[in-house]
Amino acid sequence: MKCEAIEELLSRYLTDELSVEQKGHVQEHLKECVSCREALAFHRSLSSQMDAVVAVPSRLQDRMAEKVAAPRPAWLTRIFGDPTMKKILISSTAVTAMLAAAIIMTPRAASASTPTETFNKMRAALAMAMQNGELTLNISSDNKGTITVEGTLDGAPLPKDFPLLVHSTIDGNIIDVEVTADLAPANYSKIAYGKDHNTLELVPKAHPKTKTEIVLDPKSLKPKTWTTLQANDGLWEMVSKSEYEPKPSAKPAPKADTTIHAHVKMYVGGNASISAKNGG
Amino acid sequence: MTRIQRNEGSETALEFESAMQDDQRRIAFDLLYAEHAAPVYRFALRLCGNPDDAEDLAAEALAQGFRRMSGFRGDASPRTWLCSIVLNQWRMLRRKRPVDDHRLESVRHVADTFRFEDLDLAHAICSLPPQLKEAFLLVKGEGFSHAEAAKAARVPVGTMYFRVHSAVKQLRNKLTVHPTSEEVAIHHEV
Repeated sequence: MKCEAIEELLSRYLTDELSVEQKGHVQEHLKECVSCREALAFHRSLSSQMDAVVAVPSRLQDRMAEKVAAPRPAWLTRIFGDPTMKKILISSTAVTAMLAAAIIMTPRAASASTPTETFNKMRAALAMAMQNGELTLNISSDNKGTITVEGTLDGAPLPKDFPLLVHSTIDGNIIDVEVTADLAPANYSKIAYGKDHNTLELVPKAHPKTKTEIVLDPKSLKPKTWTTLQANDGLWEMVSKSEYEPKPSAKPAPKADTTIHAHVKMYVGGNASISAKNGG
Repeated sequence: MTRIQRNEGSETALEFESAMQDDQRRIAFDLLYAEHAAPVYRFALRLCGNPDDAEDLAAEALAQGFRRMSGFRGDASPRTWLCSIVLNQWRMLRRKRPVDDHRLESVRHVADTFRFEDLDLAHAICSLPPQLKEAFLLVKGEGFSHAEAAKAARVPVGTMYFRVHSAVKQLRNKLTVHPTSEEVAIHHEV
Protein backbone atom coordinates (compact mmCIF):
# COMPACT_ATOMS: atom_id res chain seq x y z
CA MET A 1 0.00 0.00 0.00
CA LYS A 2 1.14 3.55 -0.67
CA CYS A 3 1.86 6.07 2.09
CA GLU A 4 -1.29 8.10 1.36
CA ALA A 5 -3.49 5.01 1.77
CA ILE A 6 -1.69 4.04 4.98
CA GLU A 7 -2.03 7.56 6.42
CA GLU A 8 -5.78 7.36 5.89
CA LEU A 9 -5.82 4.30 8.14
CA LEU A 10 -3.61 5.63 10.94
CA SER A 11 -6.36 7.25 13.01
CA ARG A 12 -8.40 4.05 12.96
CA TYR A 13 -5.23 2.06 13.65
CA LEU A 14 -4.91 3.95 16.93
CA THR A 15 -8.58 3.48 17.86
CA ASP A 16 -8.37 -0.21 16.93
CA GLU A 17 -11.09 0.04 14.30
CA LEU A 18 -9.23 -1.75 11.48
CA SER A 19 -9.75 -5.29 10.27
CA VAL A 20 -7.00 -7.77 11.12
CA GLU A 21 -5.87 -7.64 7.50
CA GLN A 22 -5.73 -3.83 7.39
CA LYS A 23 -3.90 -3.74 10.71
CA GLY A 24 -1.33 -6.19 9.33
CA HIS A 25 -0.76 -4.03 6.24
CA VAL A 26 -0.27 -0.93 8.40
CA GLN A 27 2.16 -2.67 10.74
CA GLU A 28 4.21 -4.07 7.85
CA HIS A 29 4.34 -0.67 6.18
CA LEU A 30 5.33 1.14 9.38
CA LYS A 31 8.35 -1.13 9.79
CA GLU A 32 9.72 0.13 6.49
CA CYS A 33 8.49 3.74 6.20
CA VAL A 34 9.93 6.58 8.30
CA SER A 35 7.48 9.11 6.89
CA CYS A 36 4.43 7.11 8.03
CA ARG A 37 6.01 6.49 11.41
CA GLU A 38 6.32 10.28 11.74
CA ALA A 39 2.69 10.63 10.76
CA LEU A 40 1.71 8.05 13.41
CA ALA A 41 3.78 9.90 16.01
CA PHE A 42 1.97 13.11 15.05
CA HIS A 43 -1.40 11.42 15.65
CA ARG A 44 -0.17 10.20 19.03
CA SER A 45 1.24 13.58 20.02
CA LEU A 46 -2.13 15.21 19.21
CA SER A 47 -4.10 12.72 21.32
CA SER A 48 -1.62 13.07 24.17
CA GLN A 49 -1.74 16.87 24.07
CA MET A 50 -5.55 16.89 24.02
CA ASP A 51 -5.89 14.40 26.86
CA ALA A 52 -5.94 17.01 29.62
CA VAL A 53 -8.21 17.67 32.57
CA VAL A 54 -9.99 21.02 32.29
CA ALA A 55 -11.20 22.92 35.34
CA VAL A 56 -14.97 23.28 35.36
CA PRO A 57 -16.40 26.71 36.31
CA SER A 58 -17.83 26.57 39.82
CA ARG A 59 -21.22 27.93 38.70
CA LEU A 60 -21.79 25.26 36.03
CA GLN A 61 -23.68 23.00 38.43
CA ASP A 62 -26.01 25.84 39.45
CA ARG A 63 -26.63 26.72 35.80
CA MET A 64 -27.42 23.08 35.05
CA ALA A 65 -29.86 23.02 37.99
CA GLU A 66 -31.50 26.25 36.75
CA LYS A 67 -31.98 24.77 33.30
CA VAL A 68 -33.39 21.54 34.74
CA ALA A 69 -35.87 23.54 36.82
CA ALA A 70 -36.79 26.00 34.04
CA PRO A 71 -39.90 25.20 32.00
CA ARG A 72 -38.94 23.83 28.62
CA PRO A 73 -39.64 26.17 25.71
CA ALA A 74 -42.55 25.16 23.56
CA TRP A 75 -41.59 23.25 20.42
CA LEU A 76 -42.74 26.12 18.26
CA THR A 77 -40.46 28.53 20.13
CA ARG A 78 -37.54 26.14 19.74
CA ILE A 79 -38.14 25.68 16.03
CA PHE A 80 -38.85 29.31 15.21
CA GLY A 81 -35.89 30.37 17.35
CA ASP A 82 -33.66 28.55 14.89
CA PRO A 83 -33.22 30.69 11.75
CA THR A 84 -32.50 27.73 9.47
CA MET A 85 -35.60 25.87 10.63
CA LYS A 86 -37.60 29.06 10.09
CA LYS A 87 -36.38 29.29 6.50
CA ILE A 88 -37.07 25.61 5.88
CA LEU A 89 -40.58 25.93 7.29
CA ILE A 90 -41.40 29.00 5.21
CA SER A 91 -39.94 27.63 1.99
CA SER A 92 -41.61 24.27 2.46
CA THR A 93 -45.10 25.63 3.06
CA ALA A 94 -46.00 25.61 -0.64
CA VAL A 95 -44.60 22.13 -1.13
CA THR A 96 -46.49 20.88 1.92
CA ALA A 97 -49.74 22.33 0.60
CA MET A 98 -49.21 20.62 -2.77
CA LEU A 99 -48.40 17.31 -1.09
CA ALA A 100 -51.48 17.57 1.12
CA ALA A 101 -53.63 18.18 -1.94
CA ALA A 102 -52.04 15.22 -3.73
CA ILE A 103 -52.66 12.94 -0.75
CA ILE A 104 -56.30 14.01 -0.46
CA MET A 105 -56.92 13.46 -4.18
CA THR A 106 -55.09 10.12 -4.45
CA PRO A 107 -56.94 6.91 -3.53
CA ARG A 108 -55.48 5.39 -0.38
CA ALA A 109 -52.85 2.76 -1.05
CA ALA A 110 -52.27 -0.27 1.16
CA SER A 111 -50.43 0.40 4.39
CA ALA A 112 -46.71 0.81 3.81
CA SER A 113 -45.83 -0.22 7.39
CA THR A 114 -43.76 -3.34 7.92
CA PRO A 115 -44.99 -5.92 10.46
CA THR A 116 -42.28 -4.76 12.92
CA GLU A 117 -43.38 -1.13 12.53
CA THR A 118 -46.97 -2.16 13.22
CA PHE A 119 -45.79 -4.19 16.21
CA ASN A 120 -43.92 -1.13 17.54
CA LYS A 121 -47.06 0.98 17.05
CA MET A 122 -48.95 -1.57 19.15
CA ARG A 123 -46.26 -1.29 21.88
CA ALA A 124 -46.62 2.48 21.82
CA ALA A 125 -50.42 2.18 22.00
CA LEU A 126 -50.08 -0.13 25.04
CA ALA A 127 -47.71 2.33 26.73
CA MET A 128 -50.26 5.10 26.12
CA ALA A 129 -53.02 2.81 27.43
CA MET A 130 -51.04 2.56 30.65
CA GLN A 131 -50.79 6.35 30.87
CA ASN A 132 -54.52 6.64 30.26
CA GLY A 133 -55.35 4.06 32.92
CA GLU A 134 -56.71 1.57 30.35
CA LEU A 135 -53.86 -0.82 31.15
CA THR A 136 -53.31 -1.45 34.86
CA LEU A 137 -50.86 -3.60 36.76
CA ASN A 138 -51.87 -4.92 40.18
CA ILE A 139 -48.85 -5.86 42.21
CA SER A 140 -49.22 -7.68 45.49
CA SER A 141 -46.78 -9.19 47.89
CA ASP A 142 -47.33 -11.84 50.55
CA ASN A 143 -45.66 -11.65 53.96
CA LYS A 144 -42.60 -13.50 52.61
CA GLY A 145 -42.13 -10.92 49.86
CA THR A 146 -43.34 -13.14 47.00
CA ILE A 147 -44.64 -10.86 44.27
CA THR A 148 -47.74 -11.47 42.17
CA VAL A 149 -48.47 -9.25 39.18
CA GLU A 150 -51.81 -9.27 37.45
CA GLY A 151 -52.94 -6.81 34.84
CA THR A 152 -55.99 -5.68 32.98
CA LEU A 153 -56.39 -4.10 29.57
CA ASP A 154 -59.63 -2.27 28.82
CA GLY A 155 -61.19 -4.00 31.81
CA ALA A 156 -60.28 -7.59 30.83
CA PRO A 157 -57.35 -9.61 32.24
CA LEU A 158 -54.09 -9.45 30.34
CA PRO A 159 -53.22 -12.57 28.32
CA LYS A 160 -51.53 -15.28 30.43
CA ASP A 161 -48.44 -15.15 28.21
CA PHE A 162 -48.21 -11.34 28.15
CA PRO A 163 -44.45 -10.93 28.67
CA LEU A 164 -43.96 -9.12 31.97
CA LEU A 165 -40.52 -9.09 33.58
CA VAL A 166 -40.69 -8.62 37.34
CA HIS A 167 -37.65 -7.70 39.40
CA SER A 168 -37.91 -7.15 43.14
CA THR A 169 -35.58 -6.44 46.04
CA ILE A 170 -36.45 -6.36 49.74
CA ASP A 171 -34.95 -3.91 52.20
CA GLY A 172 -36.44 -4.44 55.66
CA ASN A 173 -40.19 -4.22 55.29
CA ILE A 174 -39.99 -2.24 52.05
CA ILE A 175 -40.08 -4.09 48.78
CA ASP A 176 -38.91 -2.46 45.57
CA VAL A 177 -40.62 -3.83 42.46
CA GLU A 178 -39.85 -3.12 38.83
CA VAL A 179 -42.15 -4.43 36.12
CA THR A 180 -41.29 -4.17 32.44
CA ALA A 181 -43.29 -5.36 29.48
CA ASP A 182 -40.69 -7.35 27.59
CA LEU A 183 -42.09 -6.66 24.13
CA ALA A 184 -38.85 -5.84 22.32
CA PRO A 185 -38.92 -6.98 18.65
CA ALA A 186 -35.52 -8.65 19.24
CA ASN A 187 -37.28 -11.19 21.50
CA TYR A 188 -39.19 -12.62 18.56
CA SER A 189 -37.80 -14.85 15.83
CA LYS A 190 -40.76 -13.96 13.62
CA ILE A 191 -42.97 -10.88 13.37
CA ALA A 192 -45.28 -11.15 10.40
CA TYR A 193 -48.71 -10.13 9.21
CA GLY A 194 -51.41 -12.78 9.47
CA LYS A 195 -54.52 -12.83 7.34
CA ASP A 196 -54.43 -9.02 6.99
CA HIS A 197 -52.44 -6.00 8.12
CA ASN A 198 -54.41 -5.81 11.35
CA THR A 199 -53.26 -9.29 12.41
CA LEU A 200 -49.78 -9.90 13.72
CA GLU A 201 -48.15 -13.30 14.13
CA LEU A 202 -45.32 -13.51 16.64
CA VAL A 203 -43.01 -16.42 17.44
CA PRO A 204 -41.01 -15.82 20.64
CA LYS A 205 -37.36 -16.82 20.48
CA ALA A 206 -37.64 -18.36 23.95
CA HIS A 207 -40.59 -20.58 22.93
CA PRO A 208 -40.22 -21.43 19.23
CA LYS A 209 -43.07 -23.95 19.38
CA THR A 210 -45.61 -21.36 20.39
CA LYS A 211 -47.16 -18.60 18.32
CA THR A 212 -49.17 -15.55 19.29
CA GLU A 213 -51.79 -14.12 16.97
CA ILE A 214 -52.84 -10.58 17.79
CA VAL A 215 -55.73 -8.89 16.02
CA LEU A 216 -55.33 -5.13 16.37
CA ASP A 217 -58.01 -2.53 16.55
CA PRO A 218 -57.20 -0.41 13.45
CA LYS A 219 -58.05 2.88 15.23
CA SER A 220 -56.36 2.51 18.62
CA LEU A 221 -53.78 -0.13 17.52
CA LYS A 222 -54.44 -1.94 20.78
CA PRO A 223 -55.12 -5.70 20.76
CA LYS A 224 -58.71 -6.79 20.12
CA THR A 225 -57.83 -10.46 20.51
CA TRP A 226 -54.67 -12.12 21.74
CA THR A 227 -54.51 -15.83 20.91
CA THR A 228 -51.74 -18.16 21.97
CA LEU A 229 -51.19 -21.32 19.93
CA GLN A 230 -48.89 -24.28 20.41
CA ALA A 231 -47.46 -26.62 17.77
CA ASN A 232 -48.61 -30.20 18.15
CA ASP A 233 -47.69 -32.77 15.49
CA GLY A 234 -47.43 -30.07 12.86
CA LEU A 235 -50.76 -28.45 13.77
CA TRP A 236 -51.36 -25.28 15.75
CA GLU A 237 -53.60 -25.83 18.79
CA MET A 238 -55.14 -22.91 20.63
CA VAL A 239 -53.90 -22.63 24.23
CA SER A 240 -55.67 -19.43 25.29
CA LYS A 241 -57.56 -16.51 23.84
CA SER A 242 -58.19 -13.10 25.40
CA GLU A 243 -60.62 -10.59 23.93
CA TYR A 244 -60.78 -6.83 24.45
CA GLU A 245 -62.98 -3.95 23.49
CA PRO A 246 -60.48 -1.16 22.84
CA LYS A 247 -61.64 2.41 23.27
CA PRO A 248 -59.92 5.11 21.22
CA SER A 249 -57.22 6.90 23.23
CA ALA A 250 -57.79 10.56 24.05
CA LYS A 251 -54.11 11.37 23.59
CA PRO A 252 -51.95 10.67 20.53
CA ALA A 253 -49.66 7.64 20.68
CA PRO A 254 -46.11 8.34 21.92
CA LYS A 255 -42.99 7.53 19.89
CA ALA A 256 -42.88 3.94 18.72
CA ASP A 257 -39.98 2.78 20.89
CA THR A 258 -41.79 3.60 24.16
CA THR A 259 -41.93 0.69 26.55
CA ILE A 260 -44.08 -0.12 29.55
CA HIS A 261 -41.98 0.15 32.66
CA ALA A 262 -43.32 0.57 36.17
CA HIS A 263 -41.39 1.00 39.38
CA VAL A 264 -42.96 0.97 42.82
CA LYS A 265 -41.87 0.68 46.43
CA MET A 266 -44.37 -0.98 48.75
CA TYR A 267 -44.60 -2.63 52.13
CA VAL A 268 -44.07 -6.39 52.33
CA GLY A 269 -47.55 -7.89 52.48
CA GLY A 270 -49.11 -4.82 50.82
CA ASN A 271 -50.31 -4.24 47.31
CA ALA A 272 -50.33 -1.47 44.71
CA SER A 273 -52.22 -0.75 41.56
CA ILE A 274 -50.28 1.06 38.86
CA SER A 275 -52.10 2.64 36.00
CA ALA A 276 -49.61 5.12 34.60
CA LYS A 277 -46.34 4.84 32.73
CA ASN A 278 -43.43 5.44 35.03
CA GLY A 279 -40.30 5.67 32.91
CA GLY A 280 -38.70 3.84 29.96
CA MET B 1 -46.76 10.44 37.37
CA THR B 2 -47.53 7.07 38.83
CA ARG B 3 -50.89 6.68 40.47
CA ILE B 4 -50.55 4.35 43.41
CA GLN B 5 -53.43 3.12 45.47
CA ARG B 6 -52.50 1.49 48.75
CA ASN B 7 -54.59 -0.46 51.15
CA GLU B 8 -52.76 0.48 54.33
CA GLY B 9 -50.88 3.51 55.65
CA SER B 10 -51.48 5.22 52.34
CA GLU B 11 -50.64 8.79 53.37
CA THR B 12 -47.33 7.91 55.02
CA ALA B 13 -46.47 5.61 52.16
CA LEU B 14 -47.07 8.35 49.60
CA GLU B 15 -44.89 10.80 51.53
CA PHE B 16 -42.20 8.16 51.72
CA GLU B 17 -42.54 7.47 48.00
CA SER B 18 -42.25 11.18 47.18
CA ALA B 19 -39.16 11.60 49.38
CA MET B 20 -37.55 8.58 47.80
CA GLN B 21 -38.21 9.97 44.32
CA ASP B 22 -36.72 13.36 45.27
CA ASP B 23 -33.65 11.67 46.74
CA GLN B 24 -33.22 9.51 43.68
CA ARG B 25 -33.44 12.53 41.39
CA ARG B 26 -30.87 14.37 43.48
CA ILE B 27 -28.50 11.39 43.42
CA ALA B 28 -28.97 10.98 39.67
CA PHE B 29 -28.29 14.70 39.15
CA ASP B 30 -25.10 14.61 41.26
CA LEU B 31 -23.89 11.44 39.55
CA LEU B 32 -24.45 12.83 36.08
CA TYR B 33 -22.65 16.05 36.96
CA ALA B 34 -19.71 14.37 38.71
CA GLU B 35 -19.17 11.92 35.87
CA HIS B 36 -19.70 14.08 32.80
CA ALA B 37 -19.46 17.81 33.57
CA ALA B 38 -15.68 18.07 33.01
CA PRO B 39 -15.45 16.30 29.62
CA VAL B 40 -18.64 17.93 28.37
CA TYR B 41 -17.40 21.41 29.32
CA ARG B 42 -13.96 20.70 27.80
CA PHE B 43 -15.55 19.62 24.52
CA ALA B 44 -17.81 22.70 24.49
CA LEU B 45 -14.93 25.08 25.25
CA ARG B 46 -12.75 23.64 22.49
CA LEU B 47 -15.63 23.91 20.03
CA CYS B 48 -16.52 27.54 20.68
CA GLY B 49 -13.38 28.98 22.31
CA ASN B 50 -15.52 31.10 24.62
CA PRO B 51 -15.95 30.15 28.31
CA ASP B 52 -19.38 31.83 28.60
CA ASP B 53 -20.79 30.05 25.55
CA ALA B 54 -19.09 26.83 26.63
CA GLU B 55 -20.67 27.04 30.06
CA ASP B 56 -24.07 27.61 28.51
CA LEU B 57 -23.67 24.74 26.03
CA ALA B 58 -22.44 22.36 28.73
CA ALA B 59 -25.20 23.34 31.21
CA GLU B 60 -27.84 22.91 28.50
CA ALA B 61 -26.46 19.52 27.42
CA LEU B 62 -26.25 18.23 30.99
CA ALA B 63 -29.75 19.52 31.80
CA GLN B 64 -31.18 17.96 28.65
CA GLY B 65 -29.31 14.75 29.44
CA PHE B 66 -30.78 14.71 32.95
CA ARG B 67 -34.32 15.44 31.75
CA ARG B 68 -34.19 12.79 29.05
CA MET B 69 -32.35 10.20 31.12
CA SER B 70 -35.35 7.88 31.30
CA GLY B 71 -35.56 7.93 27.50
CA PHE B 72 -31.87 7.13 27.03
CA ARG B 73 -31.83 3.89 25.09
CA GLY B 74 -28.24 2.94 25.73
CA ASP B 75 -27.33 2.46 22.07
CA ALA B 76 -24.46 4.92 22.61
CA SER B 77 -22.41 5.79 25.70
CA PRO B 78 -23.87 8.59 27.88
CA ARG B 79 -20.84 10.77 27.08
CA THR B 80 -21.33 10.30 23.32
CA TRP B 81 -24.95 11.24 23.80
CA LEU B 82 -24.11 14.37 25.83
CA CYS B 83 -21.44 15.47 23.32
CA SER B 84 -24.01 14.97 20.59
CA ILE B 85 -26.30 17.43 22.43
CA VAL B 86 -23.42 19.93 22.80
CA LEU B 87 -22.69 19.62 19.10
CA ASN B 88 -26.29 20.22 18.17
CA GLN B 89 -26.52 23.26 20.42
CA TRP B 90 -23.27 24.63 18.98
CA ARG B 91 -24.52 24.21 15.41
CA MET B 92 -27.69 26.09 16.34
CA LEU B 93 -25.65 28.84 17.99
CA ARG B 94 -23.56 29.25 14.84
CA ARG B 95 -26.73 29.59 12.78
CA LYS B 96 -28.18 32.21 15.12
CA ARG B 97 -25.13 34.47 15.25
CA PRO B 98 -21.62 34.49 13.81
CA VAL B 99 -19.14 32.84 16.16
CA ASP B 100 -15.64 34.23 15.86
CA ASP B 101 -13.52 31.37 17.15
CA HIS B 102 -10.34 32.56 15.37
CA ARG B 103 -9.66 35.49 17.75
CA LEU B 104 -6.52 35.35 19.83
CA GLU B 105 -8.63 35.27 22.98
CA SER B 106 -10.47 32.17 21.76
CA VAL B 107 -7.19 30.57 20.71
CA ARG B 108 -5.81 31.16 24.20
CA HIS B 109 -8.86 29.55 25.83
CA VAL B 110 -8.49 26.52 23.59
CA ALA B 111 -4.76 26.33 24.32
CA ASP B 112 -5.58 26.32 28.04
CA THR B 113 -7.39 23.00 27.58
CA PHE B 114 -4.21 21.24 26.41
CA ARG B 115 -1.80 19.29 28.53
CA PHE B 116 0.96 21.76 27.59
CA GLU B 117 0.27 25.24 26.26
CA ASP B 118 0.61 25.29 22.49
CA LEU B 119 -0.84 28.38 20.81
CA ASP B 120 0.13 27.18 17.33
CA LEU B 121 -1.82 23.96 17.72
CA ALA B 122 -4.78 25.83 19.25
CA HIS B 123 -4.75 28.33 16.38
CA ALA B 124 -4.55 25.53 13.81
CA ILE B 125 -7.52 23.76 15.43
CA CYS B 126 -9.55 26.99 15.62
CA SER B 127 -8.85 27.58 11.91
CA LEU B 128 -10.20 24.18 10.81
CA PRO B 129 -13.50 24.20 8.90
CA PRO B 130 -16.33 23.53 11.41
CA GLN B 131 -17.09 19.99 10.23
CA LEU B 132 -13.43 18.95 10.39
CA LYS B 133 -13.04 20.61 13.79
CA GLU B 134 -16.05 18.72 15.16
CA ALA B 135 -14.70 15.41 13.89
CA PHE B 136 -11.19 16.09 15.15
CA LEU B 137 -12.36 17.14 18.62
CA LEU B 138 -14.59 14.10 19.00
CA VAL B 139 -11.94 11.56 18.02
CA LYS B 140 -8.62 13.13 19.01
CA GLY B 141 -9.96 15.41 21.74
CA GLU B 142 -12.50 13.19 23.46
CA GLY B 143 -11.02 9.84 22.52
CA PHE B 144 -14.17 8.50 20.86
CA SER B 145 -13.90 5.80 18.24
CA HIS B 146 -14.77 6.94 14.73
CA ALA B 147 -18.01 4.97 14.97
CA GLU B 148 -19.02 6.71 18.22
CA ALA B 149 -18.03 10.09 16.82
CA ALA B 150 -20.12 9.43 13.70
CA LYS B 151 -23.14 8.77 15.95
CA ALA B 152 -22.53 11.94 17.95
CA ALA B 153 -22.12 14.07 14.80
CA ARG B 154 -24.94 12.22 13.02
CA VAL B 155 -22.91 11.48 9.92
CA PRO B 156 -22.04 8.18 8.20
CA VAL B 157 -18.96 6.53 9.67
CA GLY B 158 -17.13 6.78 6.31
CA THR B 159 -17.61 10.54 6.41
CA MET B 160 -16.11 10.59 9.90
CA TYR B 161 -13.02 8.64 8.68
CA PHE B 162 -12.55 11.20 5.92
CA ARG B 163 -13.06 14.23 8.16
CA VAL B 164 -10.65 13.08 10.86
CA HIS B 165 -8.02 12.20 8.28
CA SER B 166 -8.45 15.57 6.53
CA ALA B 167 -8.32 17.48 9.83
CA VAL B 168 -5.10 15.78 10.94
CA LYS B 169 -3.57 16.32 7.51
CA GLN B 170 -4.41 20.04 7.60
CA LEU B 171 -3.02 20.42 11.11
CA ARG B 172 0.19 18.66 10.14
CA ASN B 173 0.62 20.94 7.15
CA LYS B 174 -0.01 24.06 9.24
CA LEU B 175 2.19 23.23 12.19
CA THR B 176 5.84 23.88 11.62
CA VAL B 177 7.18 21.70 14.42
CA HIS B 178 7.07 18.02 13.64
CA PRO B 179 8.19 15.25 15.98
CA THR B 180 11.86 14.41 15.78
CA SER B 181 13.08 11.03 14.58
CA GLU B 182 13.91 10.13 18.18
CA GLU B 183 10.33 10.81 19.26
CA VAL B 184 9.14 8.69 16.34
CA ALA B 185 11.35 5.83 17.51
CA ILE B 186 10.06 6.14 21.11
CA HIS B 187 6.43 6.09 19.99
CA HIS B 188 6.93 3.31 17.49
CA GLU B 189 5.16 0.39 19.18
CA VAL B 190 3.65 -1.80 16.54
